[in-house]
Amino acid sequence: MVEQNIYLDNLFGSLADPIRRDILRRLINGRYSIRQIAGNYEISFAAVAKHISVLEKAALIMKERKGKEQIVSIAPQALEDASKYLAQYEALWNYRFDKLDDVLKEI
Amino acid sequence: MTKATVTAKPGEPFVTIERDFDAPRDKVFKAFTTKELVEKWWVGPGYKVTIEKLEARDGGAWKFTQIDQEGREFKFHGSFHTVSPGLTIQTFEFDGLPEPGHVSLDKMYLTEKGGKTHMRIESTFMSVADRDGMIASGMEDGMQNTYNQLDEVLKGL
Repeated sequence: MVEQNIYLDNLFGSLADPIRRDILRRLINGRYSIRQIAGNYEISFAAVAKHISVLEKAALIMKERKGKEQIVSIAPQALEDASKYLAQYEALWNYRFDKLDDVLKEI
Repeated sequence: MTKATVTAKPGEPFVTIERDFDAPRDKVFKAFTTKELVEKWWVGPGYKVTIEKLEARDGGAWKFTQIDQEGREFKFHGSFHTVSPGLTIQTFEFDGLPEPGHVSLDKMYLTEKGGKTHMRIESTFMSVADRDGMIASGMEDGMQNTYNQLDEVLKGL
């Protein structure tokens, strides 16, 4: 059994920048405007906007215009990829333990 | 068929693996601590394992090499802190990382009930990133490539 949507750390572990990782973690919990996201950091609004643009180009997040604001949300594919990593790790252990079952029958 | 339960919570450097085996504890313990037996099952789709060392005793060491279909080798090693049927404590390190020192501590509990054995492995990593890296390393090459490509894309932007 795989706990859903919680293996994002795995996916995000490959992202070099801690602020980008932090932005992604926040977006797991909801949708925010760029201004709201920027309010969490000491770096400039422009710097945060650039990080968001990097994440968007990597298809990890999506931007949507709502009035004057741009609303940012996590891309469904990013969530899917993250749970896939853990599912594969679990599949590896199931493969091993199925072989171990055979060993136990022989001894 | 019995399935393993793998738990890895977000933001925590832990992984827990649980599984039931239809065999008494002594047999399960033997299958985990005997070189010839471990070589039969500590494998994966498309790779086998050679065990250079498996000194399953307090203070002993272990050293495994995984070999994939292209002949590439991936080495792992660690030390046994405590070895007993009920509780085994050992370290685990993948030797293929750019720098050494990403070690995890594994505790394995085996409990017998009605001739069956419940296994619980608790792994503690040095950081969440180490834990995530370990999970990623269990992936097939294709997924690993995707992961690396994503890294490259992000670096270039």
